[in-house]
Amino acid sequence: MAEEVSSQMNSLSISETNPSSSATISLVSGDDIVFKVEPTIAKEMETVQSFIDETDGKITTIPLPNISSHDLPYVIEYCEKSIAGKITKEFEAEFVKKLNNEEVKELFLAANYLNIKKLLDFLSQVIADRIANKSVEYVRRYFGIENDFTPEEEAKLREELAWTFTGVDPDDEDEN
Amino acid sequence: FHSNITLILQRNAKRKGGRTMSDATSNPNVEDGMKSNLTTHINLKKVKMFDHISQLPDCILSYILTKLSMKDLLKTSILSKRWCNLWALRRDLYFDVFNVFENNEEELLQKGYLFDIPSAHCFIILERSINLELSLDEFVRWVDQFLKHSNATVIDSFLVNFYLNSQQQTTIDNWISLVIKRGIQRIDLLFKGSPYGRCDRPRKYYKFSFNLFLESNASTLKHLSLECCIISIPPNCNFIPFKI
Repeated sequence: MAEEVSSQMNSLSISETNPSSSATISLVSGDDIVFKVEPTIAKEMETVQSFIDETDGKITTIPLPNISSHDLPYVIEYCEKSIAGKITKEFEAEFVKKLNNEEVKELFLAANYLNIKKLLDFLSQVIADRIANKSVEYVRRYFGIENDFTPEEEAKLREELAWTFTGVDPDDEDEN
Repeated sequence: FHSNITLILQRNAKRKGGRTMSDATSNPNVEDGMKSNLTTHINLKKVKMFDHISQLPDCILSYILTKLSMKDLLKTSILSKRWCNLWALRRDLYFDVFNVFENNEEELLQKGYLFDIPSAHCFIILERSINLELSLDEFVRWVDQFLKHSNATVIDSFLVNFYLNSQQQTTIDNWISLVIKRGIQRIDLLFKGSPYGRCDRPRKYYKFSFNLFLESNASTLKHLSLECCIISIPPNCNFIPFKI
């Protein structure tokens, strides 16, 4: 896994910010790694694009302090496939296989932050699949939800919805 | 991290500012340039990064809600007080064996919702069919309860794919009346129950009556798809329940 990511990063060329190469856009991850991408890739990321537009393209180095250099290559990979029109079921299946539950969540948050509709939509399905048939407690942990019901309130709700609580899968504890 | 963004942007702005300053005398657009730097600064601050999925705004969470099975969707209502009403954001309702019972065929077989029976046409061929004795009442009750619990104000589409017939006439009529009141645009009643329908039994079809639409003044319906249903148009009525 680590090797894969680093090779991806190599192909994206890690470099010092170079203001003279105005053709490419430099995305700077939270841990200060610079990813050079084509402007078409930046277009896929609405947040980045509106940033560029507002400065009339004068700023081409965009800090993304919330996105780590671990997650950014996945986002870029997805955007590259998307503009190449190569988002197939096979690609998505392979893409998902590489991601653990934590990474799916991080990418979802990143996709929201960068405002990439297609990736957000795709990851929504991935999340839905990963919480399918899981217990309420599992979903709470997965989403980081604090249960603000009193035990009595919750018991009452569960009773009301008892007809829907058949056959819950065991939680996978490995990632929590 | 907010302070982080500010810092980096300030750094950029400074560098930028430094460069533009030297052109200041010859370039009348400098002020504009500075202004846009400022707006950018503000705009990036507006974009907030969240630490947890639960902190995301409703509109983003609704992306996930639309991908859940009906069963999982309903379960989100007891996650917390906020989530209690969130599932009402789901505007397309889709009821079939996978959404209501189990999400894969294997489990459906294991739990007895599906079984293999000899084909009506050729008894040596086994056909995978729905076990009506076990599942029919449960399915109908499930959809019924779901709609009763739902406090969705708008429902765009309503799809039922199950082996239903005239025995459930009143219940189904109630479902349709309810979704009409929620501004339904698309109704699919697929009562053949593909791919697990039973062709070995004679049955009376459900009667889909245009009367159901007469209660509401303006129908919002754009799409109607019926399978194994009879359409009933009331006499002396030239009303067609479609939005034109």
